[in-house]
Amino acid sequence: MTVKIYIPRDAASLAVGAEKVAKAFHAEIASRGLDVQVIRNGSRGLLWLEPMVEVETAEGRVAYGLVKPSDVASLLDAGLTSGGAHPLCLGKTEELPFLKSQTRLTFARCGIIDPLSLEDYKAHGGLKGLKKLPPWRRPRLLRR
Amino acid sequence: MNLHFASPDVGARTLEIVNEMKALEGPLLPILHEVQAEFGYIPQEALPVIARALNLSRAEVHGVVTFYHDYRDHPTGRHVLKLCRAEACQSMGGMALEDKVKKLLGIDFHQTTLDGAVTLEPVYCLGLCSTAPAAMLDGEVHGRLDDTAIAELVAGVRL
Repeated sequence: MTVKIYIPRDAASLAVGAEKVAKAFHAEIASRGLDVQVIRNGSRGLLWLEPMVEVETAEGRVAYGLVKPSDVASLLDAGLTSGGAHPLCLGKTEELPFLKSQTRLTFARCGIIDPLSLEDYKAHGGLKGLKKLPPWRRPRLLRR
Repeated sequence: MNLHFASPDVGARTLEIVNEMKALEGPLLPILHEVQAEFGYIPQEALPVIARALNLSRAEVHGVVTFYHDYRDHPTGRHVLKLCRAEACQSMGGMALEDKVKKLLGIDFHQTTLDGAVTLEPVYCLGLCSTAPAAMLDGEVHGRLDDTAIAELVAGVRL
């Protein structure tokens, strides 16, 4: 199954090198022939840990903080794709105290959702309001 | 210094841009952005063309152009380096960074190096307070800058 890795692309993450980290991941993934999809998301808000890379595991997302391009090879060696231990590993994202003590409303889905995936949007409650419209008033997108 | 004379077709090209964009709601700012993207700055010759097409006075257009510091009335160097000077960046050593950059480039704010490589501008603010001190080089943001990182940026633009 394709492993999903999340690397933010918001301005703060870009300012501290997220683009170079993403490039390094793409290069390593290609050269190792891994079945990994890199998703560029919004930041989870822990800007002091950016670039923060997350990987989707069976137990939820696992985060790696302050990742530099030069760390990418060792992260993959340490089994990042399955949430493997590494000095940069922060554990499960949801268990980080900063996030755990928050109730998010406005930014509830920021960093969680794949912004370019309609399926992901729907899975997180997208288009719900439009579906309440009578069928003949629904936009074409929903009639398919 | 490169003397930059606006070519005679500034008016014609500006009019094309205006005609493409004047149907937008609040078209003046997008038009000015496009004019600056086209010429590298806002030529004086463009102002009456824009004013006439939008049914504004020339003074109104002038007022908008001079209000927003992002609009320039003269060309820049090949690169534009903007240093954030707002509170968060100052509190994280932005002033020392400024001095360092000015020494490295040999210029002050609003000036361009003699080789035409880079123009140095202040900016308030890049919104990168969490990764201060911050700078923007040719539209790309850079945060958590220290002496080494800023020296690398400067070396890159002088190549």
